[in-house]
Amino acid sequence: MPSNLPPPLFAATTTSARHINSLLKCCGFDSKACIQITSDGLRVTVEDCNVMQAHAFIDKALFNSYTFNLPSPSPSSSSPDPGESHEEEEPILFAVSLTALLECLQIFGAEAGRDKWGSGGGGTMAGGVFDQQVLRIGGSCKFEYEAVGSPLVITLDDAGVITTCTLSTWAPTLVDDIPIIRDSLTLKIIMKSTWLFDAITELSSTSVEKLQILASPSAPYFSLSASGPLGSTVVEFANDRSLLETFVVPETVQYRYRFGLIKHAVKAMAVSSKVSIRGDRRGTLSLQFMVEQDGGAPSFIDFRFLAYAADSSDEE
Amino acid sequence: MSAPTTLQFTLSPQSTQKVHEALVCLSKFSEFISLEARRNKLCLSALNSTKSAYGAVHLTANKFFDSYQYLSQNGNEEARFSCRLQAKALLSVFRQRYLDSKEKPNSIDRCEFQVDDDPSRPECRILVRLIYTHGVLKTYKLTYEDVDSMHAVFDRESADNNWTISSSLLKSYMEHFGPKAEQLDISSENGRAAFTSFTEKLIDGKEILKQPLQTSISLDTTDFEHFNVTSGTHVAISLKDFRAITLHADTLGEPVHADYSSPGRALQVHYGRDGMQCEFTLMTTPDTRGTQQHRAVVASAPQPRSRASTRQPSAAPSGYTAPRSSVSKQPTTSAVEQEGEEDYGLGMDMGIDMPPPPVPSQHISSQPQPLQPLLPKRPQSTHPPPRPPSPPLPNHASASKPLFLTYASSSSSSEHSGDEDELARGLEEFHDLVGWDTAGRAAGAPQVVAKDVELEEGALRGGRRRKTKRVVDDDEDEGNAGRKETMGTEGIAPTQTSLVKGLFD
Repeated sequence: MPSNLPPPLFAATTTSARHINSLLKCCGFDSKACIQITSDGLRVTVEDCNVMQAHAFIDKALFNSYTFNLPSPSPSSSSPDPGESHEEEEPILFAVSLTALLECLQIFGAEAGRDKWGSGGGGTMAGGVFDQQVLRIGGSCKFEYEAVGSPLVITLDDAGVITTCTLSTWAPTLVDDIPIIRDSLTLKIIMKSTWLFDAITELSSTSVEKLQILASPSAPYFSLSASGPLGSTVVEFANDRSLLETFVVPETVQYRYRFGLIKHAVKAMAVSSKVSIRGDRRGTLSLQFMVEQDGGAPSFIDFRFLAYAADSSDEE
Repeated sequence: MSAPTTLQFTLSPQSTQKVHEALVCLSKFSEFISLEARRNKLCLSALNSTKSAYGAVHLTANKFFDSYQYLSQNGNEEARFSCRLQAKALLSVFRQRYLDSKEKPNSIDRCEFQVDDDPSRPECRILVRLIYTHGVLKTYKLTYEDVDSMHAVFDRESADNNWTISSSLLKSYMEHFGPKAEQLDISSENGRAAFTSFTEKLIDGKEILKQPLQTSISLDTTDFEHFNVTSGTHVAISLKDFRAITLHADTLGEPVHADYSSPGRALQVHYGRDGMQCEFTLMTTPDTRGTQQHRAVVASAPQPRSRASTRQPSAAPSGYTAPRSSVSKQPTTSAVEQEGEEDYGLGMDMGIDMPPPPVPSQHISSQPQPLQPLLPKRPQSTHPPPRPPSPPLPNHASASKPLFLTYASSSSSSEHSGDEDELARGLEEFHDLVGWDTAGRAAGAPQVVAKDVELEEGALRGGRRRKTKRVVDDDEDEGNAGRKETMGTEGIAPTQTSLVKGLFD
């Protein structure tokens, strides 16, 4: 449906706006997001204090139509080539207000009841049967990004009611992805994200500042702990297949993270079905959440955290 | 299990859930929850900040727990271990989750609770371990304060009004009351009982801070499993407290019993099941509608009229219209009384802190001074006050005092050597108070005075009334100190600002 006389840089329509919305909500902890358009989909990056990042990847498959025209400025090659380009392609990057974007996507009340569990990270999982989000079946959503520097235009059509939102974009402050060194993984655990969610909720009930993650090949195996003014809490996971689907920990490691940052991932924990927890030698933690949507390929959200410096993490 | 005091018990998932529910209820009274362990039972209790409401949940060692062991330091049978924790901390451990159907497999196997009170160690920690069926272990170390618990004393024998009602029925009735209603009046007349919630109108200048609201539910006494209340008795308690209690009672599904005697004295609600005994002692506002009615009726009599008349005028301004004709003015009054109740709490507090008898005089001299002047004036306006103002106030204070005492094993341990005496005196005064209460109604003179004051000073009704009431009621000089002081702070200065401040402080 994207009828474009001068082909826009990017145009896509989808009927699963609510899924996209829920993916974006998972990283809605900051007001700004950096969106990278590639021929495979959209990569949304949100970061906090340069020590944690969240990447949500919105796959092309989530869109009914997806047109990405390589930036014409590149003198060589064919510009209007939807999709099929490759890694070398120069990605299109822009920053946009995530708050506004989320607001737009739920402008028809797609996520009315959500906030009550959302921000606090407490409570229950995503919406019940009568959640507006579930009830809302129809409705399509169109994204358009005309050219570098132009606004992001979102057109929502809900049973004939059409809303057009124009979001200003601006040049992103470029931040490199937090790297995780795959060769030196000290910890690789895959588990149901509800367990993690439960553990984090448990720890957050007392106001704590630091989360300590301990993984070892023997006894406590995998434990999360935190202490605050009211006391301390430790959640330990036994090395049980039913609990930890994958557990690769060659040696005992212990890292500390700022709890407030970890809590940014709480929404993702609540919504996703599985989480892969990886840590490298320097303590960089990656939490990759698999978010399944009914009858579709799963989407992934990746959170990366830098640990507190090792010396501070070793002292008790 | 070494030399120091050790408390250890294990809870089943069901019991853990019960503890959660109990804690939720208690946490509505106070942000602190006291835990007291004895050889054969554990008691969780909470006393609200104004000391006008107290809740306790007693857990029987051999019935409620899967295992329970309490070893005291010296092996004394009567030994107790008591401490105080933040309700928040306890609730973070005993959270709602165990029976969460969504996560069936995520259920706990058992909950282990352990305290080692070792004086040689500087840290006070309670260790709670939740063992999940699927291999997750959660360990909590909670900080606690080593504090003696306070318990309310309630004499069920002297409470001649009592009723029993199904908790689910009671809860369904409670749902009719608006969320902002503050007080609950319980009354009975001619075979019908009435639960009436009401809020007093509160005005600050032209600004309406609180809108008056009254909802009344009348039910046949046959709805009760048991109903034995003197017709015409009215008691008013805090609706919020009562609501918390009914919600909890409903989770147990056991009938709720209530015992009380007369307005101004405590009311106790209790229920229990499977080794869990819950009791809540709530102070009723001393000058309830019932009393008022009574007074109004009595008004025809020479002395009493003063009171009735006074009330009405004051009530009228509030613009409140009560459903029942006879009671129309009551709501206002009661609201005022509510404030009064709060004062009570304060009074109690102070009572605890200071020896009753000596203080009064001092206080009078220092803070309450305004009162004294007022009092004399009042009498002048209508009738000369039968008694000096000082005596009446104390009564309340004293009355409340007896309710709350530290269980300090030895009275000596408590700061005030006079505690025991105070207690005794308090009890005496309590009775006296009741007597005086009636007297006050009859006399009514002081109230009139109060009214005058109002007019003169333009003070808020609430503050003024409160004062009056107290004055009327109070008889004794002694043990009133606390009361008076309270009045001094809130009641004495009748100006609007002061009242408001008191309310919102």
